[in-house]
Amino acid sequence: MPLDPASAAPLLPTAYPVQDYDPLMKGMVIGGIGILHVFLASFAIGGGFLLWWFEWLGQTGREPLARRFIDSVFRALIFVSFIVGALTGVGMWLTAIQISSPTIGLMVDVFHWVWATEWLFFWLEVVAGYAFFRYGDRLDGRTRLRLLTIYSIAGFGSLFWINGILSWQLTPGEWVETGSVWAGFFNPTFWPSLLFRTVVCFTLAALGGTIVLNLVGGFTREERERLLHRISPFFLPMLAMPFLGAWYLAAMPEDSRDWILGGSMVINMFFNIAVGASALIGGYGVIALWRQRNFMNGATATLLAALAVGATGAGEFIREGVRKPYTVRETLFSTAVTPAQVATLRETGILATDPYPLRDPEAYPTDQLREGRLVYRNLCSICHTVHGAMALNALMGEWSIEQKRLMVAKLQWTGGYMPPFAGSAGELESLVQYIAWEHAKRPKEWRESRDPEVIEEIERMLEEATTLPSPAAQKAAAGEESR
Amino acid sequence: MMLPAVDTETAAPATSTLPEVLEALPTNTVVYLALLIATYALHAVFMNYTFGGMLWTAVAALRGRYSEGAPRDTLATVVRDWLPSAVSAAVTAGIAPLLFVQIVYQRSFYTANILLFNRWMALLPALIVAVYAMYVVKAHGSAGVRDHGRAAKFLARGDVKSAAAVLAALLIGYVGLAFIENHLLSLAPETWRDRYVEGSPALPAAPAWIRLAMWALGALPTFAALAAWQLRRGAGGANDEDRARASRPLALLALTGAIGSLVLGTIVWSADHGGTRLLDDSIGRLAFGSLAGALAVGGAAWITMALHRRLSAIMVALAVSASLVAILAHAVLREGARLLALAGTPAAAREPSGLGGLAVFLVFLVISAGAIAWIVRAVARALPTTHRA
Ligand code: HEC
Ligand code: HEM
Repeated sequence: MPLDPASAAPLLPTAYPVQDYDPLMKGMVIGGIGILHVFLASFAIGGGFLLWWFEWLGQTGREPLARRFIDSVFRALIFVSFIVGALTGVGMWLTAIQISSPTIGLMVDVFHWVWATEWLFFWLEVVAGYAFFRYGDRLDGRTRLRLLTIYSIAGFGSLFWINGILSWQLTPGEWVETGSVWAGFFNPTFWPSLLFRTVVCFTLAALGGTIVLNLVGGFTREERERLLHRISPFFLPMLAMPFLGAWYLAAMPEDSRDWILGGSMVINMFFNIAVGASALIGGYGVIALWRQRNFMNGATATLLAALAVGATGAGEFIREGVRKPYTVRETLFSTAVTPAQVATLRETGILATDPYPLRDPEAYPTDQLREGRLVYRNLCSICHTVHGAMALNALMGEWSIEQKRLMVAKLQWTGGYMPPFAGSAGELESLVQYIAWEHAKRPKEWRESRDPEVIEEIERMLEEATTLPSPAAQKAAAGEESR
Repeated sequence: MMLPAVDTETAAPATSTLPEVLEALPTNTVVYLALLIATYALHAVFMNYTFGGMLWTAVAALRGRYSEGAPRDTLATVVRDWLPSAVSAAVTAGIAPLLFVQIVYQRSFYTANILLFNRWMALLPALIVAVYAMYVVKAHGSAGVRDHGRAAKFLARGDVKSAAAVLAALLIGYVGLAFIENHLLSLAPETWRDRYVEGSPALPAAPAWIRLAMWALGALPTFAALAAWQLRRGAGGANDEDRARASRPLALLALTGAIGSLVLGTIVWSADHGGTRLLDDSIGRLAFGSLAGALAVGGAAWITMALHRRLSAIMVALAVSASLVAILAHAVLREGARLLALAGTPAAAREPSGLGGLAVFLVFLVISAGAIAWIVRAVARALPTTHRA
């Protein structure tokens, strides 16, 4: 009897149907929306502070032009970014469900009251922002400033809350032992990551303000220079970036840090992009504006903003990348298998828990290949495709069948960014056959290989690999050898 | 922190009644269910206004009400000006039930999301475009646009506003349909496997359309009541004449919506859920009775207002309260149906594995409620009544 789709345990890849995004990688899908969301939301948060600053400059008589700038499109722009930022935030949530329901489900289970608190801050942002946006013209100075104070604090508050949840994924800290929400929330990377993101908010607001200033009419060149000078303090926090970055890196788990610093070529490349782009933005912003040597025109500001998108994007990919092989470190592998489940799944097999059949069973000549495709779907497709991005065909298609068996059996040795193989020896053989078949361009005929000797050999390799993730597996093996 | 090991046991669905189902749930789950119902009702208030207001605006735009030199139509102006805030409120309010539904019905909500895939995810771009379109309808010589002569002229054109309003109304309708399809699929675990293999049909099935019609009609009385309340508060400088003029069209809208949604509601709620008809269940009957009663009371209030061509304080208050009761009753019926449909399956209501953080939430609930009350008062004080647009 086939399994009931509602019945697989919630923390397993098989608990939910899996979509095929080939040739795109799932990380790319979430990364794409992530960039847009982080960009808009950060701009709206920093923009709140920039509005506050200009309002204060205007009210205290320090900058007579300030009010005119605020009441130009800038105010509206901040507000619309906030609304669309909120919508893309919902989008992040829904995308996370598509990509890894068990992960977002675990996050919701642990942190729902934190999220509910963040929701209160959203309301504050909406009400204060809307009141200012809509009635600002007709309100007295004190009320205006207070509304902006509330809006800015609420915006920063929403960052504060979400930052705890996101940084927990990389460094869950003492939560792993105690299960305490606050131990998880104020985790080792909480502060560096919060400060880092805050600097990004200020920088994006400064860039946005500069672009708007160049676009709206009604200011003379001299007036623009003066207003730019007023914006420039918002570039200053970038000076702290190198220190915050170093702190962030120091607080990370060792293996994640190593990948960023060169252990993984891709992540290291993104890291260099982020650092380079940030240095350019910061250097230009700080030197040119603060020292009043230069005038930043619209084209330059737009170029820097484009670099900022690049840096934001790189940052998102790094964030997704360095957690591997986990979505929640020590707790849940990217595959939605928990470390504790691996040993059981080696015995029972992953497919015993999968209620969803293949959509195109007729495309595969044998049951073993169908099984292999299902194993790929559950244990590899979260990070790989077959022929597209991170293609298994390209990565391992050329290898001999023995080599394939060994490298997959010792997956966490093949790369520390991969979890231990969480299926049975028979399933491993099916997977390897499936990849070989794909590499052979899907021939109409394919021999089934269920040789007991081969399976036994695979079982031995799996045992050698251990059920532990890297680097614990390597340590355990070294301990074994020295005994 | 205990994480479950592999577990593939299947429980057989059992026919039961709502009191039985509730009795068997852990207390925490019942609390989360109550929060889901309450926050969903809040969401529904704003989304009903949004949908009704969007329709009203689209019709007004098509009648040229937003073109230069059009006759004074205070209601159309007020609704148009409040739409963007209404949709922001609907979205913000929607986040809370989105959170609670993931806690209580994690399995079924997520599975439906994934199975609908494109169709479900499309609601986001639809909403984003709808929000921008609403601003196009609304844009009228605001500070930023004034600077740009050509853009301002384009946005002020009647046909541009009509097109934007119709587009936004369609998109908002699509968002509603997406939520409905998702909800219906989430109630039917027995169909998930086939849906995964076969994919979604090109068009949603009949029950989704019936439910969409029920919701769209049900949104109208809420919109009419809230719009009447705005006019009474002098929004857009509304005077007695504006109120008198608006009374009959709003009454017609509210009555059509109430009767229509009640007829469709009878069809929807008499369906079989997990072997039980909601209308045969004691809680289900109570909720349906409240819904019908509230719609009747609201209808009576509207008939009175239409006959007297006057939006009197007491009748408007009655219509607003009736709408709120109807929304709550509707929310209870929805949850009742879901509890029955999923009872005894592994996708039934569940308890989250962690519960910490409630105290912090409560502290900030008080603080933010205070801050919001302050904002509302400060703005109300600073503005003379006639300027409360
Ligand atoms: C958590 C994400 C993740 C999962 C799950 C995963 N991989 Fe990988 N895999 C990676 C990354 C990252 C790389 C590095 C790619 C690169 O260097 O371009 C990689 C590389 C590989 C390589 C090439 C290794 C080498 O050194 O040449 C193979 C083979 C491979 N994966 C097979 C698999 C198979 C088979 C599965 C499923 C059983 C799987 N992976 C599951 C992330 C993952
Ligand atoms: C203005 C646009 C929106 C409209 C028109 C709309 C419409 C609807 C409708 C019609 C339902 C009821 C579905 C049913 O009973 O079958 C619903 C439910 C719901 N909506 Fe909205 N919605 C909108 C925006 C949003 C947004 C942005 C969110 C998320 C932040 C959201 C969250 C929810 C949730 C969580 C439910 C309950 C789902 C369930 O119980 O299965 N809505 N919405």
